[in-house]
Amino acid sequence: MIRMEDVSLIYPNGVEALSGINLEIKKGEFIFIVGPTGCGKSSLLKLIYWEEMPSQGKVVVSGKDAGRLRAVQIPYLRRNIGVVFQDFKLLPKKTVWENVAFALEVTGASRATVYREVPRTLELVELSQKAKMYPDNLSWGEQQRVCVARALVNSPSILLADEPTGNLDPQASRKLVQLFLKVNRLGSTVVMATHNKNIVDPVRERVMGLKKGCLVSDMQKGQYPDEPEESEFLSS
Amino acid sequence: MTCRKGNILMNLRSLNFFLHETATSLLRNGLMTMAVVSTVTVSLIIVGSSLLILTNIKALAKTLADQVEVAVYLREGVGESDRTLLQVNFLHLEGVKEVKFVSKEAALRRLEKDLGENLKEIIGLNPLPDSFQVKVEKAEEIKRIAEQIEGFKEVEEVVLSQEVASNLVKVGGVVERGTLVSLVLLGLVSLFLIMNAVRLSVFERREEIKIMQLVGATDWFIRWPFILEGIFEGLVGAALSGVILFLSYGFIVSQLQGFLPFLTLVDDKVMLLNLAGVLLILGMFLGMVGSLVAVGRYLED
Repeated sequence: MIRMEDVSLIYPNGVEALSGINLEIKKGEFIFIVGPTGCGKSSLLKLIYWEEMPSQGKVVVSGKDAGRLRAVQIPYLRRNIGVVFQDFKLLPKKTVWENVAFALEVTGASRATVYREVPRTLELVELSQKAKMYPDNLSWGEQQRVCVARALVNSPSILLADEPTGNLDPQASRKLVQLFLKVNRLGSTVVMATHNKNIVDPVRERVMGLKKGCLVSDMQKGQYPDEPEESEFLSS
Repeated sequence: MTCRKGNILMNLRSLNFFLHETATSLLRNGLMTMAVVSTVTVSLIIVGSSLLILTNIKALAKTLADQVEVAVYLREGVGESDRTLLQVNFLHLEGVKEVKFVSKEAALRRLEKDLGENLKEIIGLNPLPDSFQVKVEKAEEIKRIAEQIEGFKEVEEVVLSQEVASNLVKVGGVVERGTLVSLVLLGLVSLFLIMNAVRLSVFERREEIKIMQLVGATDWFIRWPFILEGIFEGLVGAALSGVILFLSYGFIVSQLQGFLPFLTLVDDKVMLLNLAGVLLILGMFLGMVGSLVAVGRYLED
């Protein structure tokens, strides 16, 4: 589903965000990308949704090689990837409903589809009551959930989340990860960047560690030394 | 067939979406919309006023040119056949519009009518010579034509009957050219002002453009609502400027003609409607191009 071969990313200001990245993420996997702030987690995600192009190496997502991609293809490919941005990136002049609906409308979805999917997704993130509000009138946590709803409304084959629990309390964080796990079970590949150890450990999915732009660890699901029968995190 | 039907449905759906997006965006960005509309209005009032001034100067120059003529007095004893030949020769001179013969009798009758006296009875003879009234196409060529006419041996004297008018026409020509240059400059300034206002309104929303790209919107999907907004703002601004010019021009013409009755101003409703049409097209075009250029810039970033 996602493959990187000897990838490096150097920004125009000369900062080397990633170097020598080799990884393969299979369809239907749930991956945590962990590491301290500034280690390159966001840059890695940006390569997956083509906001950045690799300075070197090969990035292949859903069979499409970034190096061979034409600019006009990118919008269509992005529709299969839901992204929960660290800074939300909500449209300030649109209501909660309109922000979520927009991700469907860009695909040319019918009115009926929009009116069916948007309420369902808002229900999922418990924001039905705030559908008519503008992002500025919502709390950080609520804005986060609007962003999640927008990422999910298209039923994407890949869900990327960049520090999605950064502004949430522990309970809300747990609920969000449970939601992502549910989405994963429904067939989406989920890649979540975080530095929150408390949500990574109980889930016991594959974890990749980044440090100073390099991939330093890759712990596969099932390789945990003290694997319990069932994670309490999931059942709580 | 099904595919084409699907495309049409998709396009209609998109059109509906774009119109809805445009309307809500115009309302929600009300302050910016007002700023752009008022800039378009003011800029097009300037352009429209310049066009009206230019039209009037042209009309004035034409009126003056019509009054400019050369009076050609003939020597005593020029026969009828020579006179006819002269008239033909004058007509063949470059820039001559009309040549009219005034016999000495007709000239005397005209003078007597003007003075209200029977001059022939008082003087006992007709002192006036036969003459031609020569009208020219362009007032600025009158001197050259007069000099050419003076060269004919049958001609006694050439008088530029409306030298003052001729000078006025010359001044009019300079003013006309000056106005034209100012108009072009004002047009460019207005263009810049409108483009800048539209650019600023798009700049305000550059982050939105980025976000739309990130959630999978194609460039044209992002462009259309901005283009429609630009067209709408341009049209509303142009319509306002048209109404303001229409009303104020009528008022100014009636006031000026009260003070300066000899001044003939163009008071033609069709001309004003044509001007309004030009302003509407200009406003729409500038709004559209302004949006297109500004959005294009942020799409590339």
